[in-house]
Amino acid sequence: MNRNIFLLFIIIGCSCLDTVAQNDSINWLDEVRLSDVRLKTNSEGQLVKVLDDSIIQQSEPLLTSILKFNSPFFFRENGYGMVSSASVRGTGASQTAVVWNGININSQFTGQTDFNTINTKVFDNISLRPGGGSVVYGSGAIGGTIHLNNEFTFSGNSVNQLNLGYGSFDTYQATYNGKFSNETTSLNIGLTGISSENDFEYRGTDIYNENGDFYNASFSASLAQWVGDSNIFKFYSNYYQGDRGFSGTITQPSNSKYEDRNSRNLLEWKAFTGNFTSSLKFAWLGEAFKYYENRDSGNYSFGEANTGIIKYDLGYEFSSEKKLNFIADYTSVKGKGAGIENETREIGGVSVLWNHSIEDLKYKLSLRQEITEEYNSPLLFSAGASYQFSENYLLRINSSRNFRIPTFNDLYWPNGGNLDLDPETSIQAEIGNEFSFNELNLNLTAYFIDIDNLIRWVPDEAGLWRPVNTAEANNYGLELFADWTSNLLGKPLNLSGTYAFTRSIDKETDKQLIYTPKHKGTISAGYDIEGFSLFWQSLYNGSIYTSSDNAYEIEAYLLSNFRVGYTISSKPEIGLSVQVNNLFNEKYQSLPSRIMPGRSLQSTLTFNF
Amino acid sequence: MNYKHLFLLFSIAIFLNSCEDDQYCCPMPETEAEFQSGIFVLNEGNFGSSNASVSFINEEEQVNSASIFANINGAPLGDTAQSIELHENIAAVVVNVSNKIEIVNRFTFESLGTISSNLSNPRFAEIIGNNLYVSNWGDGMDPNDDFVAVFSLLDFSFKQAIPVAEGPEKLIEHAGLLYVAHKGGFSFNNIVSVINGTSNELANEIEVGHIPNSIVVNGNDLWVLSSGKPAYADEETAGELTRIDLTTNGVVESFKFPDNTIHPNNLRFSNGAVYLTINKSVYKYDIGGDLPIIPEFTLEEVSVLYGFEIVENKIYVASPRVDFTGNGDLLIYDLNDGSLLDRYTTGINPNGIYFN
Repeated sequence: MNRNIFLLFIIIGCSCLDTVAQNDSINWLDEVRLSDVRLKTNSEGQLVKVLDDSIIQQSEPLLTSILKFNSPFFFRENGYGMVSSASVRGTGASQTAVVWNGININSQFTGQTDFNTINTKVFDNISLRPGGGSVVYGSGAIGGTIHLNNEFTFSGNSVNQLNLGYGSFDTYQATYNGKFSNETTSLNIGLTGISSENDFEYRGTDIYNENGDFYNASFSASLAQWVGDSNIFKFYSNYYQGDRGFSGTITQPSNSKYEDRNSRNLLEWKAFTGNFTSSLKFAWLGEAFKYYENRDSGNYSFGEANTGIIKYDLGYEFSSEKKLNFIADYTSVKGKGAGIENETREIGGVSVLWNHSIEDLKYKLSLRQEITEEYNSPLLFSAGASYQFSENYLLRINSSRNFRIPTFNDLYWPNGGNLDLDPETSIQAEIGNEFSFNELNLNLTAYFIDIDNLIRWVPDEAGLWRPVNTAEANNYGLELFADWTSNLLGKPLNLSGTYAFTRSIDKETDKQLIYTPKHKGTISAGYDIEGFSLFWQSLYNGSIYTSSDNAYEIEAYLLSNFRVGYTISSKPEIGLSVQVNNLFNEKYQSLPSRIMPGRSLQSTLTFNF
Repeated sequence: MNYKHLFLLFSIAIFLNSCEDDQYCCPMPETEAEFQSGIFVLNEGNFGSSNASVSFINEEEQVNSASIFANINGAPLGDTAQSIELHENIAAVVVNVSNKIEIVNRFTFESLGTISSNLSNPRFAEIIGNNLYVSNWGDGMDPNDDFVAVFSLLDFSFKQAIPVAEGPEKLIEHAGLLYVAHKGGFSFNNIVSVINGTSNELANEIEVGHIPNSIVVNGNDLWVLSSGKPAYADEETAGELTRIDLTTNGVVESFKFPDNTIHPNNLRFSNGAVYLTINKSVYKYDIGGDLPIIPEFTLEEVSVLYGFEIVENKIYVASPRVDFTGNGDLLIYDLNDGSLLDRYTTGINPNGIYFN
């Protein structure tokens, strides 16, 4: 109670201090350039790690591949290109939100994103934001959020990039990205595709990965248009289409096939009036899948969900140091298929966000309440602060309550869906330390997450599998991001690494949750000399338990990739690179009996014009 | 093309020959074999994880050996083991997701051969003479591709596929006829089909309750227990007990449980009494009397009742770990009062108990 009064006092007190109207051009710039300005303004107390365009264009295209080598997050893959889910800070697959240009795109059916159904080549950056984020990003933002962003420039330049790739297992890739702008209009176009027979040999056996063939294609367009000098319209669109054979296991042949069709559209009208910034967003998302148990037959099951979102965000800047945002939104989801008859879910929400900086101290407070008929929604909050003790040291603290709402499958699945579910809820806190020196940047975070009402599908007395709010977990651990820039023979040498120590404990059994490694680390090194670029990356995944009695485990593995690039011509810029994946031909799997590829080659030709 | 077929034929011939040799080369051991007497628990493992196994348990000597198939034969059993058929000196293990049948010597568990073709989603097996019959669902979503496959036990060669109605599950032989209970695959079915074991032709279809889960021959009667359609079906229906005259193959009488939410399972005959289960409770039925309403007792230690047998006044229950990961239990109860006598750790997700 006292604390609430204190906060209220602060808010009122601050608003009285000064009311000098001042257009902060820096803030304006962010509002215009970024699709998700909240990622920048509402992450106080949390680390946001950006993987920029160059990392995206040099990595393999699927989101799993880029993240597993560039983050401390763990991925469970049913095979290369197959179904993949993330474990961030030891949480489950539906406790990480994937956010496209500010919009949560986790599946309405499963509550998770299949990280191998995101082709990253059409995005300008991917940002990792470990820790809670449900106030802004909604359901599933417990372990962390992963952001796929497109950005605008009004530089007047036009930039084109074309990538062509060919590699082992009949893998073909092509990507085109173009950026065009003048002072009032900005247009980005991205088009990418990959197809692979994916018929690698399971290391140590004479069995091949049959039925693992896949292709996917993704198209992205973003357009921004100034109207006058205080109104801007922004439109983002992304379409993804992918067909996959689901590969078998060592002992299980498969003949199944899965088709994904996902579309995402976002229209935003942003207006700047005095100290007010107003943003009206309309988003509509479509997800559809078809599953063929036998790809040669015409029988399939399907699911289809359409989501519409209206969101109004009004910000008022009391001064350049103080800002208040009020957000109201409405989401409607219609889903059908896979036995689910037409079901509609409507959610209304209100949020209040407060940002304040007092010299070297910055803090934010935010609250969100959702209202829906299906379940009781908890009051969500996030409070964070950072303090710059010296130019070398920044301290961050954050605490939040987050949730994961029951999915359409949880609620409406015909063979057991449960309408009496509550959302999974978490209370969490973290302390982050950022050490910055000239060449070295270190981010070390310790966190604790207390998750209640975990939804698990377990058999009831009659043996029918149903989702229930059954388990509780405590997660805690350490997370490290490090970057170091140095010189070797007068040329820049870039090193970066990540490491996570994760305990994820079932409160009832005291055992580590399944599929959460205690240790995960990555390291990469890049060096450019005389038109050549050399690049090395490795990852280490500690062993994971596959059973809740911790009696069965999958062994740890170490993977390394090595790439050599050469600039053939500088105008137009043409580059050729050859990458060896899994250089040491490690036999590894992230799920039982699903052996991943051994050593393979990938060559890429890049044109910039 | 022809060359390819010829080659296949050639290789099959070689394979079959070698199997035949195996049969003749390995007579029953004179000394007591490792698994001469005891219990096999079949652990289906996790779907897609290829971690099925067989445990061997000897109560008298307190022996509990895990993964005996893999230990003896040096290769994993496969993905999602469904059932075992014991017959004379062989054990045929049906491995559902791997689409294969591992045939071993039931006393040594040494491999005699593997059938890995002409199967599609295999479920249960039964042996008549020198023929091995295997029920197959085919594509679980396709109601029209279900069949009973017939293999020769002499050389494990494929003889023929007998097309049957959707979802053939358990099979039982009587007087040269094969009775097949149709659970219905991914859907629900309500028939027992009768196959002539000589001509291998479908002779008859008998209508019973929905989802027949147990078939038992008792004297001249075939008893069929059906669980009824579950709550998520278009219409939930009560379980049903059906008595079929094995001379006429006609339904003599059938009893329906009083409430649509009652879904019985595991019909077992023991010492002249009849038992069945509803959820985790055991019920006793007196032939000629009414269906039981009050349970004898409830097996509280069971997390999920996945396999259930009664032998010599004892109840044996295969109970997976509650979340179906990790090791399960074989629980042994006193049939008289339902008290827990013993428990053994099994492999992952035990689903069947077989007595050697």
